[in-house]
Parts: sequence; structure tokens; C-alpha cells
Amino acid sequence: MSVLAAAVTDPNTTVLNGALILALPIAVAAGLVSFFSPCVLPLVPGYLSYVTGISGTDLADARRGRMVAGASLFVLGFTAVFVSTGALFGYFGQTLQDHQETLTRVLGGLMILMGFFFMGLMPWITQREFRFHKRPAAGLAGAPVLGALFGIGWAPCTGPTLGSRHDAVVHRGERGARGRTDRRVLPRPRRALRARRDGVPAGARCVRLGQEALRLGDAHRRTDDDRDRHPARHGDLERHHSGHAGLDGQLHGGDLSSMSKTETTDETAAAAAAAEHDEQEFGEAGAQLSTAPRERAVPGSFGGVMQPGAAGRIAWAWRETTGWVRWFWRQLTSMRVALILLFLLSLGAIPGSLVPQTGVDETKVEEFRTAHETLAPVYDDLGLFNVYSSVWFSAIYILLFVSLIGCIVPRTWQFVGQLRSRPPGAPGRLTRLPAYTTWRTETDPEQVREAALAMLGRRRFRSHAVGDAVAAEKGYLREAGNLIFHIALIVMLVSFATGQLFKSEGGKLIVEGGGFANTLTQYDDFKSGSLFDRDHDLAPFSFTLDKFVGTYERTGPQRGTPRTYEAHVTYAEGADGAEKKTRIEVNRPLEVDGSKVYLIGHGYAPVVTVRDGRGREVFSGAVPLLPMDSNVTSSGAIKVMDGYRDKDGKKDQLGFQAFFVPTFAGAGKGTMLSQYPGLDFPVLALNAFHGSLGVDAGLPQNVYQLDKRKMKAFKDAQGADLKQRLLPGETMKLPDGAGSITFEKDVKEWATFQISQQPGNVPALVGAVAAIAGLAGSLFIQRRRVWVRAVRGEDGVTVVEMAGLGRSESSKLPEELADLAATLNSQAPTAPDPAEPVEGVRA
Amino acid sequence: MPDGPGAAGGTEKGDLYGRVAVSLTVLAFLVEAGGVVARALSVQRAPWGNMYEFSITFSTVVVGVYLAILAAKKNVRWAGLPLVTTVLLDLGIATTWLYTDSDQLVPALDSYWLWIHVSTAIFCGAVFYLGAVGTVLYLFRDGYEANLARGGKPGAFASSVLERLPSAASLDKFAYRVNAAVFPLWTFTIIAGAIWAGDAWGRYWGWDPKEVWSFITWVAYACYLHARATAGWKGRKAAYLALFAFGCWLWNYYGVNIFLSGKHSYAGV
Repeated sequence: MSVLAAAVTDPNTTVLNGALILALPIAVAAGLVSFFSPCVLPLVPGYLSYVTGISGTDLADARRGRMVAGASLFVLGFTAVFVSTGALFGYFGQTLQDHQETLTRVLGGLMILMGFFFMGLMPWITQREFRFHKRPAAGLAGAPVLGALFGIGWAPCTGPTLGSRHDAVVHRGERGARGRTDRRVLPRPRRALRARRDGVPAGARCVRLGQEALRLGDAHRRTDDDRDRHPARHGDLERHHSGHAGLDGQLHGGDLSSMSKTETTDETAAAAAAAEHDEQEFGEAGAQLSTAPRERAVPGSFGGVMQPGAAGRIAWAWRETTGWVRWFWRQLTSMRVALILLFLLSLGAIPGSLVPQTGVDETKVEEFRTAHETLAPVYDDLGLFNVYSSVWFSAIYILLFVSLIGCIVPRTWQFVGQLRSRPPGAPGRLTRLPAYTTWRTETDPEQVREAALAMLGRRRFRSHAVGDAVAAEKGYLREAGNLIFHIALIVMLVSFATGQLFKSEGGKLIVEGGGFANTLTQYDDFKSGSLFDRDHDLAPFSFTLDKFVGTYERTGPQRGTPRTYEAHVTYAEGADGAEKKTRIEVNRPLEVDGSKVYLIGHGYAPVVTVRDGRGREVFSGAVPLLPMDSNVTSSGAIKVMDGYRDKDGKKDQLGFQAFFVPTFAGAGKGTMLSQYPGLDFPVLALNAFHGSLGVDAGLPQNVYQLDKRKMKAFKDAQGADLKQRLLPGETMKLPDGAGSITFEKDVKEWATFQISQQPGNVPALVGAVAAIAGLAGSLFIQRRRVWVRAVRGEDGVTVVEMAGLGRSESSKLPEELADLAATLNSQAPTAPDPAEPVEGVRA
Repeated sequence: MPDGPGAAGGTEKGDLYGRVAVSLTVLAFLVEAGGVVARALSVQRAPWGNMYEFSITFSTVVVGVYLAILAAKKNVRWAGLPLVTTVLLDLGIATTWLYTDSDQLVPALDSYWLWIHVSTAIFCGAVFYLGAVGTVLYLFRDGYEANLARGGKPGAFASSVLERLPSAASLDKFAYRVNAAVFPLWTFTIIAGAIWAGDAWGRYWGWDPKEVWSFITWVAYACYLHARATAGWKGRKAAYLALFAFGCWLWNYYGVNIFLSGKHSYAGV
């Protein structure tokens, strides 16, 4: 009841804040009111005529369907606009609200200006005209766009209802803000939800407005008497270039003729026959338009007849071996095998993304091994943990690149040969070529050929005169691009491979205040390529981590998402270079002398002090702990290796299991996990042990884990394991005067850096750029030949024939030929038609 | 075989409906583009930081490319229906499952390479999708033409829908051109990504799942382009390769983000 009451007293409140179900009918009612506003109603007939393409006087005879369709499309158009503005206002409502004070003043000023404007006090403005001069086409097709324009143009005029609606959308934010006591900013999900919901009533209003438009449209039709039909309009139907298919077939023929292959299927046999046919037709003209390899391999026996005797046997074996080697080579360098290898390469790369890879994440591989005890050895044998360096994957790409080289080298020589020779002469019958034109001219054949030569030269065709014709060719860059692309791939592969041999990569964890010098002993972990010299190749430089700054999203569903990570460092180039300050960020590594220092990770290092029973300090410092989750819940170990003596004065070692949260949930909340990655409420939880840390054996040990095999837990008064949560400044006492540990009021941050040297990047980059350029050239440039033949006909008039042939499937060739023909025609104009043949002859 | 008359079936009325549909598509495109711009304003950066933003931009670009080709007076109106239907699907997925509130970028994405790498990736995907639509229709139409050539009688679906499509040769050529035109850009996208990875993660290529799958997509499209120029592989076989390649692209987008964890996981997805 109270909701309904609210609806009656304040509709805006209900529409915006109340139940959506109640909001809909109210919005519909508001739409109805808007529709009958004096601004809208008189316009309806005009719009209806416009959107249906039926003039008012023609209306009565028009079909109901067309009217409804036009009106519906129109409605759709303005619905789109209203829904969008509704949603938009809803979304930006809060923003506008934040600046309401300013907005009110600015808008007030604008209102006063508008007043002057209407009074004609600002003629220099009113004389200017702001109007759309481009109108959408009348008729159904234009109706939605017109509706949208209507929506935009008339939104302010559809009465106070709409105004107050959107106004209320703006003000809704205010109520939302008032509802909360301390924060003015609404939580994001609610804002988004509102933005969506604002769209719905706007839509409902459009439905209402639209329904009215439809109803009136119908009435409009019925009351009109005139029965003249609007003349049928002729939509410009799209033209279809049906000619292309035929041309395409011929181009394919040309294509095939240059790269005929021995194929076995019926379909390709037919194609090959057609190609052969075309080859005969075009002769040399179509030859070598591409240097794509011809397939000549003939499987079978190569030895032929074996002569008796050992010599004969050896000769036969030699022929057989070389024959097979050649056959294998031809198979390998054929396009078909290259295709199969390419496909295998793509398939072969797949397992590497599904199975954890040693090179990517070693810990995941270990997890997988423990989880799948039977599967893991099989995977090991198949090299599935190292797909990209496995034997089979290497085999695929090495074969592919051998095939590539075997293909590129001969093609390059062929191409060089083509560049040094000239385009082939004109085939006998130019009419057979895919693009052809002819005309008769009074100009001498020699002059025509000269003009053609000059014209083709200007168009940068390589051209020369052969016999009675001019032969020209263009688009060599296609083949050049093709070759460059494939060579660039080889360059990239080689530079990656050499880069792997000479690269080095190491990690280092540094606590604020700590430093690093680039020598092998300083690294936490280090790996390098087999040709990297660990003693001499490391660039000499050093840096210290002054400060690490990490900020995180404070509010909203993304609370805790990292926003900035900055490592402020001081670095020095060389052994004793000048000190410089800089900042290392995730996307901005520090580059020193060919080495790059990347910021990889960060965490916290609480500062603790351990004292023995007599209060003597035995350990003090920041202990880096490893983060376990995105809120930087961290764990690690504090190890007091020497200097500690127990209450009896005996040497002993202490170990603490440390668990740290930068933001504690609070005591009794049931979780020790961190709630936020920033240092809001740091708590350190400790378990204490004593005994042997197991470090004396000299074996390397995980610094973040406590080896408790030879350690005993301290017990509290109840006999349970001693553990305690410490706030900064608090101290945990060890029982029986064994000493204490203090969590100092200082938590340092640490950052991990990756320092890597990776030579070979420059050639790889050059290769990559060349690959793209070559690829673009080979795909976008058309290689084509043009012939111009000019001969004197029997009647003494010169017959000019022009024809073109392209390797690639382009519809541009006929167009280009037409253009060339037009140019040439201007210099060798068409002769007047010869006298009409006598009737009798034609019969 | 000549091209079919188009969805309009050659009638004036049909053509009018076609133009109405295009007009509505323009409107929808404008609204959707407005949505993308509003999102960009709301987050105050390139709106490509998570799958939701990527999806809405992607579908906007798909429609935009389609409309641009239409505006260039090419005969591609036939692609409208499959295109708009899938765009709707994509938007549905984006708003129901992938929706993420406006937010800043995580530090790893805060780079000008975001503009370069992601925008080209989106554009390539949009154009590859157009190519895939052409390829699927080519396969149907090719079957239909083969059936006619055998003297078979096409079913009701074939005679009402497939008959109106452009000829198989035209569709095949359209798909090839579209794929070939954008392939260099896809190459560039991968290289730009590698350069960015070099700056952000300290290595240019690390076989991260996203990298692996963009490589697979690249190789698959390379395979298609080669197959298309090779006797015995052109036609249906090449078309299957093209679909495989686009499948890889799709998987690289949805599958890798959702099912595989890697360095391209941001904002949940």
C-alpha cells in the first residue's frame, strides 16, 4: 500500500526508485500525455506521410501494412534514442549530481542568454541558421533514421514529463547519496543496474508514444478519401557482376598454367587439362607469371634397367638412390607438403597450451606430476611438458623451414631471371585473354606502338616492343614481397634461435633499502643460453631499491585490484658510475647497458627482532614473506641460525613459522586470510620452534620454509603449541625465559626483479617488419601483363588490340585495361566505321 | 553459375525490406557505438580492458566493417542476417556473463600498446568473422550448386535461401579477399603483442596460452592462404581450413580466457 501511495504522491520517485513493475504503467501514461502535447500531435500526420513515403492525399488507398511498418520503424528509431538517453542520463546522473551547483549556475546563465536570443537582442546570432540540410530519404528505409532524428530533435519538446523524467534521473543520484551517511559515491553495481533500469521505463514510454503513433496512423489512413496511388518507386536494385565468375575461371586457368602440378583427383585432372589447354592457348604469355614451384615428382622406381654385373648393380643403386633423394626433396619442397607441415605446426602447438609447460610455469608442472602419477611419465616420454623444444615439434618446424628454403632459393633465381629478361611477347590470339579490347584507327601502327610504349612506361610497366606488339608487365613487387616475407620468417627464426643461445635471465628479490650488483653470485636464480659467458657477459651495473609503492582499488567489486606498482630505485652504470634515480614500473623496465630490469612481483617483509632469555638481540631485520593470494596473505619462516643461547646458556637455533596479512579481518571473524592487499591492519601470526634448522649440513634450503624434522615446538601454559597473533609493536614471549620475538612497527615491502639480456632482438624486429611489408606486398599488389598489338588491316586502317592477363584474382584488371585503352585511344582515335556492308553480303 | 538475386529475391518489395533492415542496422550500430563511447568515457581509457569491453567493441566493429563494405557499394547485403544474429548473441553474452563494472586498468595493461595491440586484434577478429560468414555460406552454396550440377532437386530451404546467395565462386572470392586483406594486420597484431610482452613481462615470446593460440591462428590462416593458391586444395578443403582458423581465433578469445589461465587474464576474465 505504501508503495502505491508513494506512486500517487510522487510519480518520479516511483519510476526511479520504486518497483519496476509499477514504473512501467506510469511511464506509459506519461508517454501518452507527452504524445498529446501540443508540440507533438500536429506533427504526426506529416511524419507519417514522410516515413511511409505516402503523401497525405494519397493515403487512403495505401495498404494498412505499409502504414504500420513505417510507423513501427519510426518508433524503433526514436525508441533507440530515448532508451539511450535514459540509460545515459541514469549513468551520468551521479556525475552531474556532483557538479549540480556549477551546472545550475551555468544553465541559468544559458537560460538568460536564450531569453535575449528569443527577444532578438542578439541578431548576430539569430541571423545564422543551424539546420540539417541533409534529409533522410522518404519511405520505409529512412523511417528508423528519421525516428532517431525525431528523438534527438524533439526530446526537449515532448513536454515537461520527459524533462522531469530525465531531470529526476539526475536527481535520483542525490537521493541515493542522501541514503548513505558518509559516502557520496554510489557503489558501482547499483549505478550500473540503475542505468539499465532507466532504460526500461524510457522504452515503455516509447512503446506508448509508438502505439499512439500507430493508432493515429491507422485512423489517418481510414479518414482520407483520395484514391490516387503513389507512383511505384523503383528501388535501385543492386547490380550483380555476373561476368566475374566467367572471368574468374579464366584467371584461374591462367593461374594454373603457371603452376601446373601433378594431381590425381578427377577434379584436378580436369583443371589440369583446362590449364594445359590454356597454356597452349596463351603459349609463353602466361608462363612464369609466378615463380610458384611446378610439381615434377614421379614416384616409382628410378633405377631403370639393371645391367648385369657388379658395376651395373652399383650404377642402378646410384640411380635409384639419387632418384629417391630427388623425389623426396621435391615432395618436401612441394606446396602440398608445406601445407601439411604448416597444418601440423598449428596442431602441434595446441598441446603446449593445454598441458603445463616447464618453460612457462615449473610449479604447475610439478603439481601436475603429483596429481597424475600414471599420465606424467607418458607425457614426459612424449615431450608434452616441453612441447616447443620437443623432438617432434622441432622436427615439424625444421622440416617446414627446410621446405621453405628449398622453395625460396629456386624461386629467387627464377625471379632474378625474370627481372633480367623481358616480358614475353604477345600470344597469337589476344581475344582469348581474360581482358580484351580492340578498335580501328587512322594512326600508323608504328605510332600506336610508340604511343603504347610511352604510355606503359609512364605507368611504370616494364615494356618493350616485340614484333607487331608491345609487351608490358607490372607488379613485380608482388613476387618480391612474397620472397621477402618468407626470407624474413627465416631471419626471425634464426635470430630467435641465436637469441636463445646468448641470452641470460635471472631473478632477484630486494627488500626496500637493499641493493643488487649484476654479478652471478647476487642472483636468487639464474639461467642462460649455452653460449652465454657467465663470467664476462653480465653488464656491470648496480641498483638499490629505495621504495616500493603499490596502490590498490579501495572500493567497488574490483576492490583490491592493483592500480600502480612502482619501484623507486637508484642505479649506477658500470662499476662506479654516477648514481641516478628512476622508477621501474610493470610496463617500463629499466634499461642499462643492454640489460633490462623488469619489475616482476612484490610482497611484504615485516621487521622483527628476536632476543634471548637475557634480552640480548640475536636477530633483527626485515623478513621477506611469500604472497599466497591476491590480497597478499603471506607466509614464510624466520630462522635464527646462530648467536642464540637458551636459558641454560646452551647453543640452540630458533625457527618461526610466520603468517602475515596486510589487512586482518579482525579477531573472531574466522579467517586469517588477508582482506585487502594494502597495509591497513597488519597482523603477524607466529609459531615458535627450537632445535636444529638443518642448515649446518650445507645443503641449500628453501628460505621460506621451516624444516621441522629436527625441531621442537615451544609449548604454552596449557601444553599446546605456542602461537600468537602480533600487532605491530607487540612481542611474543617464549616460555621459560627462552627469549622473545617482537614485531616492530615497521613493515617493509620487497620487489622481485628480472634482469635479462636478450641479444638478437634487433634482427628479429627487422625481420618482423620486413615480414609484414613483404606480406602486404604479396597480397595487395597485382602482377599483370598487358599487350598492345597494332597491325595495318587489309583496308589500310590500323587495328589496335589490347589484352591483359593477371595471376591474381582481381576485378581490377579489366578496369585497368579499359583505362589504358582510353588513354591510348585519345592518341590513336577510333576511325569512323567502315561503310555499311551491302545487304546481300550480310545475308 | 551466376550470383543469386540476393535476399530480396529481385522484387522491389523485398529490396525495400532489405533497405529497411540496413537502415535499422545503421541505427543499431550508432546506438552500440554510443555504448562503447559511453563506456570509454566512464572508464576514461581505451574500453578494451576486459572481455565485456572487448566484446561490445568487437561486435560494434563487425557491424561497422559490414556497413563500410556496404557503403563502398559492394554486394554484401547477404551477410547481414548471420552477422546481426551473431552480434546479438555476442552482446547477450557480453551483458549477461561477461559484464564487469567500469574500472581502471591493472598495471600490466596500462600502456600505449593497449591502443595498438588490442584495437588491431579487435579489428582483425571482426574482419575474420566476416570472412568466416562468407566461408560458411560458400560451403552451403557450393553444396547446392554441386547438387544442381548433378541434376538433383534442391529442397525447400535450398531453393528459398541458397538460391538467392551469390554464386559459390563469388562467396569464396569474398572470403579469400577479406581474409587475405586482414592477414598482414593480424601478423602485425601478434608482433605488436610480442613487443609489448617484451616491455611488460621481460620476454617477447613465452608460449603463454594466448600467444600459443594467436600463433596457431596465424599458422592456420597462412595455411588457408597457401591452400587457396594450390591446386587440389582450393575450394572446400581450403574453406574448412579457413573455418578451422577462425575457430582458433574464437577459442583464443573465449576459450583461452575462460578455460586456460595465463598472463592474459584480467579482471576475472
